[in-house]
Amino acid sequence: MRDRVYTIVYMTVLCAAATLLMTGAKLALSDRVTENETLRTNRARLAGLDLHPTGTGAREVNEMYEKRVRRETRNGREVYVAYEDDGKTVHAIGVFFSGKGFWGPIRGMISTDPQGREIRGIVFSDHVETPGLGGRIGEGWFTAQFRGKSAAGEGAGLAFLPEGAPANGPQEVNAISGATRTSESARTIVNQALRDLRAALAAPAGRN
Amino acid sequence: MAQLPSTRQALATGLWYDNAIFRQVLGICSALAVTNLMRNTLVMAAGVIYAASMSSLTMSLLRDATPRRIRIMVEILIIAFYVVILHLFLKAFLPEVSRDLGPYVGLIITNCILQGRLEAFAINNKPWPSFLDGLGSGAGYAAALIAIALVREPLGFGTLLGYPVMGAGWTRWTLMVMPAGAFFVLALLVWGCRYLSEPPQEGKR
Repeated sequence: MRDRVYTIVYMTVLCAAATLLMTGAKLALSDRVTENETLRTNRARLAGLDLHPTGTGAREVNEMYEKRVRRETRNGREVYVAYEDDGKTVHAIGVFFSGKGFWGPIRGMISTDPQGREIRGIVFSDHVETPGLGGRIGEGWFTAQFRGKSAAGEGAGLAFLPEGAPANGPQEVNAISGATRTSESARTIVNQALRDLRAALAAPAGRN
Repeated sequence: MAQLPSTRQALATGLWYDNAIFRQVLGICSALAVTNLMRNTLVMAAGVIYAASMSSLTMSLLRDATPRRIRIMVEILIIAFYVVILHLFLKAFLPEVSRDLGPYVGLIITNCILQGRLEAFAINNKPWPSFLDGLGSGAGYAAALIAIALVREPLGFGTLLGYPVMGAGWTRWTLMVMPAGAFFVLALLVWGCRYLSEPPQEGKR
């Protein structure tokens, strides 16, 4: 009997001590963790809105985001509007997108000019695609090729050509070789996102 | 069990004679999962060394107070505690690596090496030798992981720690990026290390 009581008391004390210490560590680090999250989100949104902070430091990124980006509603849809330095001229308007990737959801943001004619920026900020293959959708060379491409969605919208093939047409970008399924997902997601964005920008309301 | 190994012996045992990966073939899951990039491998290796040595030390300190029949619970609790702390630390100070490693940091809790050492050594030995035993096992795991990453990252990405090492025209070996590639490298490593260590061992026993 004494053995059992001891066992229970011992385990309870041990669990309490471990819980206390872990909670303490979590509380002590939670500000930092939140800051990291904010920085990551802001950095991703800036990239999606084709805004490029001068440095990669937390302050540059967060300040630029605070100053230049506003969340607005166009046609009942939530959009993120990036302003030029003057705070009035619209640089780009973006929407979040999400869709099915090869392994799991792919999320990010895409933006166009205020009229929705050409793509300004795109970022695939959350995905679990294979590192080195589908995971390359997160790399700069892949996202950079979207800039300036047509957002008008003529025909089937953006077409993905094999990696390395010349993709000079207004609706052509290169896919990632070795990651066919991820590329196909990305194409579907991006074209859908552009449709959403056009719908947000189409009506006369809210234009500037 | 009674004789205390010297520092050097404890480390040599973990690193080579009883190496967790190529001798005991433990901890393979994470060895396959995190070794396609050296950066992630180094963080994972450091994490396991820390968790293995600290949990061995703690188990050893608690060994006389712990009732035998609940020792497994206590072992898991100790390991989980250190791993949770590690996970929090990575999230706060190395957020990118933390995202890359995903669930694998948390899975150190179920890494057979750690509990194996607590159960086989720390629970019956004094704190300092136990600490060294954990350190040695962790270091052995780390060494094997680094060896695998040293092959996989250059062949799979053409880089090492992100720096290009294979020249501009390098064709990436997709297989090396995928977990399957790790099986090949791991098998070759196990073969190579056993070939090197077995002949003298047979003479002794």
